[in-house]
Amino acid sequence: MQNIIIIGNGAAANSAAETFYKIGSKDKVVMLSREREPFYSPCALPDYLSGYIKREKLYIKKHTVYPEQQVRLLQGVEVHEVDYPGGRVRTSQGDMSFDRLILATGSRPVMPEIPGSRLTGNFVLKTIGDVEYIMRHNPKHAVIVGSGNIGLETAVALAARKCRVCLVEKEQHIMPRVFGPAVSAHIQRIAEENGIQVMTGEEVVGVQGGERVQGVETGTGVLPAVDTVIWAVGMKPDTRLAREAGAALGDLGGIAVNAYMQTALQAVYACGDCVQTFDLLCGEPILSLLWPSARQQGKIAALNNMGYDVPYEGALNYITGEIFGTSYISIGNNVPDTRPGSSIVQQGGPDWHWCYHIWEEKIVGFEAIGVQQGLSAMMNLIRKRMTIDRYQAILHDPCLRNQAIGLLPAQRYLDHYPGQVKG
Amino acid sequence: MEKIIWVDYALCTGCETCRLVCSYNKEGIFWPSLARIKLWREKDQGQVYPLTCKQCASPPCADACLMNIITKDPVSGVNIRETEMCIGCRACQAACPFDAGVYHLQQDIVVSCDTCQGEPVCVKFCPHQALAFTDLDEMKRKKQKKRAEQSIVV
Repeated sequence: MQNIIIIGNGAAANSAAETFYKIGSKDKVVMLSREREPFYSPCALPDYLSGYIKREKLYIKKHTVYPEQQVRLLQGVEVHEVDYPGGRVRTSQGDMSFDRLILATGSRPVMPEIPGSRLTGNFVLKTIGDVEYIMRHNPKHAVIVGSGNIGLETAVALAARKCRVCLVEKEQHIMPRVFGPAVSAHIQRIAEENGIQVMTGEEVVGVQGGERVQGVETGTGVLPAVDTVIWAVGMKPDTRLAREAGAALGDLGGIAVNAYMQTALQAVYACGDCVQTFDLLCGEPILSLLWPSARQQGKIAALNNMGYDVPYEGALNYITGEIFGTSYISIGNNVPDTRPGSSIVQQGGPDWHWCYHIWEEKIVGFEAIGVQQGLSAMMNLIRKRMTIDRYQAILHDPCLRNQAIGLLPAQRYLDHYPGQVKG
Repeated sequence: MEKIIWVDYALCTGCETCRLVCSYNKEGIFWPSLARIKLWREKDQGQVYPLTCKQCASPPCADACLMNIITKDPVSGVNIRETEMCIGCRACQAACPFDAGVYHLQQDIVVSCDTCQGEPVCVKFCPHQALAFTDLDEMKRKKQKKRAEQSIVV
């Protein structure tokens, strides 16, 4: 029996702990959590902010589930240092020894150091505590800086609380890393129709006010009478413990891990938001700070920790969401590509649009708004890295078709591929 | 051995009986779009493909679920959803390789086949026996028998 310490209590950490339990590991698993909450879903926080769901509904696990799964959860523990050669962890509640360590320290929101960013009324949104600070502050006019997934969902949630919202984005269209310009224009239109002011190509250079936030300076002017600024400009992997213990970091700032989620240090694994992994489609290093990736990585880390040889397939980014009743989805790489051999196929109407990106005859990205059918089939095609020729071969062979039924609903999109002979 | 709903695509005529009985059994209303089984109609060849949950051993929907509500029943092997916790984000629907997640229009949640506690009504009412509720071994035996019968030359 060995001691396993998992630092973290998020998606990756819990996925790892559940895997230990499911496989029937005899090792002693201890989880160290900074927050005093049991495992909750950070993805549902905007719904909590808007009042759509209650606080109890955020919790994925109750406190009693941890002992049932043979995990000892220590809450409110700040880990000061990992003493790797000594096999010990120094925490605010004393030292603990470990035989194997899993780092699932997650990420922290980026808060730029600009004039006024320390005034009362500046917030980030990452934990349940952050949401409750915002709710207690009771914003009446909020500026949200950054229009990624968190920024947009927070804007929608605040608008539902009858707060005036202004979304400021540095790039030329909103959600620039997730959507291309066409789908993003639809999202912007829906947001504006519902009273959210959207400013693109603007950068926040300062926050005005004496003690509290009173206004926001952008590159071209001043937004007056603002009482809240929410920073959603990105997340940064929390790598302090790994770095100080001597684990190598990747170029993008995450903990460098191999496909088995091992760090450069023997018997130290890392998973979740804090690591730098590789893309499923092209193998390039990426930071995938998304929930499904974290859960998969946690599982892989735990399996390899127990001695099973299971490699990670790579991260495939996908985001689904809903804005005022219209659902949107983004799978894979949707940033317009200028490499040779890439093309875009798209169709759109007044309230819907879909678009897929092709590179070297393979679909590498799919984005859609207001479209509901065949999404999982597109995801399947991207995940399988299937070429369009191969797909058409399957479609026209009844025997192959019976074995690949999950792919068939993608036909409605692929029929628009140029040069397609209708069979 | 865990039982799942097997589909013999050669026998399915696309009559939608399964969808009607499923929606009536689950929701008390004959409304095919609330059924836990879908029919994909291949438009060029006119063939029909029922799509339903295959009760995967390691379900991709469970990894995708933001609320972690999809769990595997250790006895029956059925993937069960705690739908009262569902926030309707539809991530599981996109992650499913078989397009088996069904969006529930009225409740804003995603539901999937739970095999009706081991007695699926769609299988019971399928007029052409295109659906079967069996495990893998039995399915193999059936297939072998069918092939053997076909190849007997009198």
